Amino acid sequence: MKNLNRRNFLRLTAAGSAGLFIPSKLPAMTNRTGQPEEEKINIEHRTLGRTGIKVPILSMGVMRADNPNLVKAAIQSGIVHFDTAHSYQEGKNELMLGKIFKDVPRESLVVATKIKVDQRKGIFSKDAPEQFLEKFNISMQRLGLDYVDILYFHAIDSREATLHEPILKVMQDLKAQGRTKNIGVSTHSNEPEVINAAVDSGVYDVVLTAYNFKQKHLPELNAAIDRAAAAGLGVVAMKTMAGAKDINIPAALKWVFRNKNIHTTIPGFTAFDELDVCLACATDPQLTGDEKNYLAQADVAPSLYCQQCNSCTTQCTKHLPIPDLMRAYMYNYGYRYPAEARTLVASLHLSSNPCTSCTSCKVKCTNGFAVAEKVRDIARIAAVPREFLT
Amino acid sequence: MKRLLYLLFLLPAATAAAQTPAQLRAYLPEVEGWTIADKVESFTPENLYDRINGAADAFLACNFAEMTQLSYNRVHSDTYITIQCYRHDTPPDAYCIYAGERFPDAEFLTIGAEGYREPQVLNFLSGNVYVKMETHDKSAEAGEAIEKIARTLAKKIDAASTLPALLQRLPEANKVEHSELYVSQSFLAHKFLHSAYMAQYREDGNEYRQFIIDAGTPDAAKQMIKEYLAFAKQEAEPKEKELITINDRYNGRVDMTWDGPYITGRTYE
Repeated sequence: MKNLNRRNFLRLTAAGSAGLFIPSKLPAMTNRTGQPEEEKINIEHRTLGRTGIKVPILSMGVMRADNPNLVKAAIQSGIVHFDTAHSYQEGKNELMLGKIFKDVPRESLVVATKIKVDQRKGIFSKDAPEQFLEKFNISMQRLGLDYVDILYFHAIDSREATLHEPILKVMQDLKAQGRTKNIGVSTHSNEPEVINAAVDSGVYDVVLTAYNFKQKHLPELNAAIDRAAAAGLGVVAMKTMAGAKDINIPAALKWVFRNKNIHTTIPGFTAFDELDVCLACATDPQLTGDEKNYLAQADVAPSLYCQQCNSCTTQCTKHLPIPDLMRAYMYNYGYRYPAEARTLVASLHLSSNPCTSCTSCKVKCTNGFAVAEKVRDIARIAAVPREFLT
Repeated sequence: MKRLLYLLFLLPAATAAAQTPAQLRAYLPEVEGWTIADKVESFTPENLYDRINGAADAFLACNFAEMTQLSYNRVHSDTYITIQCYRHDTPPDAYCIYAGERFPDAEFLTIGAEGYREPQVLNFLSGNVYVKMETHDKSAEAGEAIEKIARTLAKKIDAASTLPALLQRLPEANKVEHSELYVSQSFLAHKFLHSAYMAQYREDGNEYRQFIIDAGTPDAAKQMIKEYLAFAKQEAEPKEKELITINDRYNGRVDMTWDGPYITGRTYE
């Protein structure tokens, strides 16, 4: 659907935003790098790739928040990065943030917004660059800012769209003009393809990707994320709660924190107690035993979770401890606990590829695992020096 | 439990008002110079993200059920009108997202329970369906077409559609027109306050908001206030129809009282 010149400048004075209870100016609580100056809880910070921006692992996706006091509470808690989009709440989201940000030192914030240009039948219209620029200008007016820290090309799901030259040129021009410090692409469909295209472009600074423990294509997605981080792109995770209402929030969020190539996360908390939960997770990101069990039992990640039925042990001609190896595989690729995976594999005293003497695998996993492939991938971890693993 | 009972109570009406994609397609009127596109797309809570991305979160928070996307193509032209029909569990749920996206200074129309238009855009509420229409065709003909389609569709979806009755309990004096909202969960970002209707007010240069919460029963209303007092670390025994002032460390001063199942109150800028 085309989004035209809808929310014009007059909107900036409209009392349209939900919950405008902004009583006072906010204190300057963070510096440019997000480092705490006072009263800050101890949250790990990571550098957003070559942008050089250092942010706490917990940021805020503002899309659903309609109470500015919640955003203010997040700022006062040490959160510095706020993610919105041109389209959220028909622009009210950016308006709300603009009213809050005017009382906050600009250099203490890392602000991202996203612009979507609609396609019909997978093709951008000829006026897509003009649409993009027009929406960007409206967003900047709503936010009341001279620049944003990250401008995303929003909701991209293909390599072709990621590399769409006319939009890339508009974003590069805006970056050259200083109206955005960095440019990025956001994706929650075909993420590996989009992320790899962003790396190949040599243009993007940041990728914003859906990332959660329920995704079916985690191996491919992790590989793309690793590649992006290695190429110097900042990586931001969204949809960390997997879109489920009954999710174990600490388990889901800590699972994401385990991946060091995810530089920050933008959960969309909408209540003060949810903010508190997220802050507690960021302060102490170690998974508890219950949280590990929750993740292990999540039936939505069958490609990683071994049911430990042991039916494979009698099928394997080499009598390999396959359930243990599958558990190690899950530790490494599921929980991002390579040290724990290594410890487990080392305790099994196997060679770096225990399947090497078999020409074909006789094991038929009840969960459909490609057992030989997974054994090959995980067994070699024992050869990695312990000090290289976390 | 309250929500379950509410849904059970509403079930016959809600079922009658449920619009399938095929029904919505059949409701579309013939418009001279335009053809109805064959393609009908539908989206569920599981894949709404695929169509509207992160904006889906706000719809899901308002108990979104299904979105049907339809369109008209202009004859001898590449312009078109897109129609997105967002069906929610109940009319208040649809009002929740409709009002959340509406700006008070829009040009309002008597279409369905309420509608408004802007250049190339017409949105309206009818029953439990929030309809968003948009075109990139700036011609007068496109404007006329979009309004004709809206008026027909609104009547077909729910000819008797009205705004939520609880809005009438908000005081009229000093209210900013079309500023009403329905927050379906975590009112004031507190989960224990559940949902509320509220509106913006201006009086002698001061701005404030009035709200009303339907707690279901007098006991539930009292319990809600007790939870709020406990959150604010205030020791007081709430009494019906007496003013209670909460000093909320996040939201500032909140004045409230309860009368039967209803909690009414005021927050300040």
